[in-house]
Amino acid sequence: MISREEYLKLPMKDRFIKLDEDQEARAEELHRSSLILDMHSCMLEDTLVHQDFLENVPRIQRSGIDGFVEEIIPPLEEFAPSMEILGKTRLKLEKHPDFVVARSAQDFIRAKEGGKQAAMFGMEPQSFGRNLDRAGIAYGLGIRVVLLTLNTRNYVGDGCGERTDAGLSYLGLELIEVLNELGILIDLSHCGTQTTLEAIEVSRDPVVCNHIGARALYPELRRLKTDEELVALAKKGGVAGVSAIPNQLSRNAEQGIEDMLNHIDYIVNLIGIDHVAIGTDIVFVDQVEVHRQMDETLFRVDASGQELNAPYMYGIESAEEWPNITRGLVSRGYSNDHIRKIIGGNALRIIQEVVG
Amino acid sequence: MISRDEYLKMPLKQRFIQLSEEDEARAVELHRESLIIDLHTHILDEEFHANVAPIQRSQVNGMFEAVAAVDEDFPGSMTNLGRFMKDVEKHPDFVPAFCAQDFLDAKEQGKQAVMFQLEPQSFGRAVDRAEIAYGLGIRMALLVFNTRNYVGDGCGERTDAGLSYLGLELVELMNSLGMMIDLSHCGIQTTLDAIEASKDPVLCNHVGARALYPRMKRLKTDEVLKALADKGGVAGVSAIPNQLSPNEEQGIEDMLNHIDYMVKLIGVDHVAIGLDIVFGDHVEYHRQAAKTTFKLDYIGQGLDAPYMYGIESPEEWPNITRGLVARGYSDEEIKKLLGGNALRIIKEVVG
Repeated sequence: MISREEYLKLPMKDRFIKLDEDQEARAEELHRSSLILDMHSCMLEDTLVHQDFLENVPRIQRSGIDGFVEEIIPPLEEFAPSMEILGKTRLKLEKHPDFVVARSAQDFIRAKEGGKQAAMFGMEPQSFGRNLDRAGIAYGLGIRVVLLTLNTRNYVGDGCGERTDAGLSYLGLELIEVLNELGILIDLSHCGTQTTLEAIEVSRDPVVCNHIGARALYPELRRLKTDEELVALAKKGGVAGVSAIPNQLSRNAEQGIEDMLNHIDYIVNLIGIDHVAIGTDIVFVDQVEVHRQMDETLFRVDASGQELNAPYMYGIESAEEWPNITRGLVSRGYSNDHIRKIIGGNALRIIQEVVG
Repeated sequence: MISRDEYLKMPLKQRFIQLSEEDEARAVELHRESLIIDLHTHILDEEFHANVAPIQRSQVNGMFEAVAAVDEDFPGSMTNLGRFMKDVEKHPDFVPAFCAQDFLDAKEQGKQAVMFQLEPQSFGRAVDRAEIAYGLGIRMALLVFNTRNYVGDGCGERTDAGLSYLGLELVELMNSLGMMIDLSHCGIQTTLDAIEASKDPVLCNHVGARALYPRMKRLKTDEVLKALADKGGVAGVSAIPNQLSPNEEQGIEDMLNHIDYMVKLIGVDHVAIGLDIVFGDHVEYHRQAAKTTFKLDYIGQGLDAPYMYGIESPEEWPNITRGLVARGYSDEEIKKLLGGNALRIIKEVVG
């Protein structure tokens, strides 16, 4: 197997799924005309890792996506530093002629019409501490999506890599009410099972698990959602975004787009075509190396059952390989209508419903 | 029953437990000569200078002052610590304490020593801040208050989940620093997990016995008290109104009942005093913070008694010694309860 560096030097057509002429044309047309939303990306993050926005702009543009939810990762889950990062990141986008900041569903539609790409902002995880008034401030500063916890415990719930699976605290119940009131989309991707189920139950609005996969396909990995969680999510109108994170869909030494498509297939089968989306968690750096370095602190890779066997994701390692998802769905026999839902329609719908 | 205002106007000897002439002499002598340490106080505030006289009349030799960090705001709590420490250092009759010997030296010099704890720890996810806190003078910290935080669940939380991984790390760090760990406000599982995980003995420095008031979640169960004592820990009995009893009239006798129960359960070497005494109207404070900080509903506390007869103000501290004499404790036992056990654990953990 070639190294990640060698892989990234391969021409796109060598990284892409092979299609026949008809399928090729169909995939290209779908990718061009559909409103495509990546529900969870870390392409601009420049605090924990080094990613140069201007250097990466051409790759973001070649992805063909119309919008993405870019995550702000608060250092130490603290509020003031996270607002500073939000400010700096928004500035980069506002100053670039080809990008706009999205604060509502309509902003995505307008961006596509204007030939631009739109970024909505998420906070991963919420950094409000005990002071839930901060949720309103974050909203005012542009946050529209919030993760309740990362992999460990915080004031509102337990993460999927925690020693306990305790569910929401009283403060957690209050926070959900505040987020519902504000119209902020709640993401449960990193929460433990009990916290996920309780949040789904308690929230008045539908919620998301926007960068996950199906636990049934890889039972040891606690970052993936059980059938029970996925069914509960869909029953209340929620959406599950399938990720492309290396070593979080499979433990094989070689992983890639096919694993991602397997998870999409499984989840569509389980909860239906209206409740599945894409949240790649794509970055430009070596994500496996990042996981390796932040193992003890941020990710607790061991505790969440993850093994770092594969060095990258063949076919969906970089943002410019995003069209490969559309190609893959074509090759797996999905209809045009269904593909449009998965690559953006369902995401847009839930953003419209919750955020407005 | 008279009001709190009227009660505080009564001469001390009317508030005190009645003793025979002989017992009176014994109590006065014991209180004067024993090393007395209150493991949990809130005596330093804006009114400190006005309150110095009653603090001195308590004759307590050492106080473990709690810096409240209600929002778990680290910079805010260190600012408060600085302010309190300055007041102590600037007053000729008080000294800060950083180790066990400081308490002994203070008593010898006729001064009162103040050691500092954080209530609760305000380190957030950066548990390394414990090092900063230690460097600035903190020698004890509560892991959690009444609700959940990054390290564990409080006694008034919806769940009783125990320590998180970060909680285990913090316990290890506090052990290595020689900072005492207090579990007074933790839920049961968190308390048991911390007792188990800590290499040093730990404390519940302002509690009582759940067996005597089962719905009050601030009190420790027999299981917890035994586990605590088995690993060398110490439980301080509090004098907090409405946390030792549901009765409309409460006071020193309730506190003594809890002391009796706990001594009988875990032995006289593992019980101490941590009053949580304040100068203002403690019940009114609970009433105002009932839904926010204290979550009185969740911990099962009422607001039935308006004050603690016989142990409402620091100057009634000698009443504890009088009460122990009245209840038949020996001199040696009384010395342990008043401060000997507290000093021992401070020496063992802090140095």
